[in-house]
Amino acid sequence: METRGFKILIRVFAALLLVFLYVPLAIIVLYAFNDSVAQAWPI
Amino acid sequence: MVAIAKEQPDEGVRTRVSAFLFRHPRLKLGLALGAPLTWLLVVYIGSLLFLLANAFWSLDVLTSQIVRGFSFDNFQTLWENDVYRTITIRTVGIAAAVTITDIVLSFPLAYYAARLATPRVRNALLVAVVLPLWANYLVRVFAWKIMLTPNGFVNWLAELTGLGHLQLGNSNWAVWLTFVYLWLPFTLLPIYAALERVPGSYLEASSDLGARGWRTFRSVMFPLILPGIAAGSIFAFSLTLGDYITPELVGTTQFIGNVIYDNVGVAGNTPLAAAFALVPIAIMAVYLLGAKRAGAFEAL
Repeated sequence: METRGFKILIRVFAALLLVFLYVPLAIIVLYAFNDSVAQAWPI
Repeated sequence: MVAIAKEQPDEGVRTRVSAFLFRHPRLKLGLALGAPLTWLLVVYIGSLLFLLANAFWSLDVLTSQIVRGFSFDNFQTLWENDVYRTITIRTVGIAAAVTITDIVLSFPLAYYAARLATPRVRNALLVAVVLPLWANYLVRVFAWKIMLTPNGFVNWLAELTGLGHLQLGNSNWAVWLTFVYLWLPFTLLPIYAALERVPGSYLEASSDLGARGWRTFRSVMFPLILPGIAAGSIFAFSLTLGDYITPELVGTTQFIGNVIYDNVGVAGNTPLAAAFALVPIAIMAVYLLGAKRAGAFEAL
């Protein structure tokens, strides 16, 4: 049923979703080591 | 010898009690379910009934005392005041948008995990989806609050990709995005479970009969995973409907939960808060009936 293109697309979407889940947590961790009180990016 | 002699009477009592309970199955059932059922009736159902009763009381505006008399004043206020209607429509609208977005976003990863990934990758993916739930709710909300500030990560990324400067912070978009993020794992897992249960032979049969990918998805797979989608949507919809912290932190507009919170805490008008609290309960009752008809409870 699944074509090669479909499999690649679904892999890319799955990877993007994981990025969406983990980027906010990674950013909180980065801000935790930030000395500045200004919430600007890039830190 | 002494120890054996002491254990023998205990064994006898235990055997007699066991035999007695075996002969009286209803008593056994009552003893097993009595405590949890009492808890459910008194604490859970009892508090809901108290809430219902409270909704029919009223607040004396002069003395700020609650008048324990039966009246429909609170419901009349909620019905006639445009503000409450707007807040209800906004809350339900955002809850529906969050639910649909979560379903659409969940599907590719759920599909990949259920049907394409090796068992080892599947386990890793499921752990990766659940792991963010270990982070505190407030931490995750604040992460989005920081990311959506005018000089935050989202605007930096938008400018980098040529989308320009976005005004997402402190808006309904921010609330929607944060809710989508918060409830995504709750939607994904039931969809994954439903996808995993679809027999591969059905898809092969559909393919053998000449159906292409989209037709197979529409006619074979979608009806089979619909209970899973409905189950996942219950979480996203109900959790959004009852939340008041996220709109408070990342938005500027009020949701049903915010009005209830303000009426309980600041205004002291618990009868009006109770009446408004019945609105999401009624909406969820209708939603759950629909979900039950879609077979969602079998997929939970």
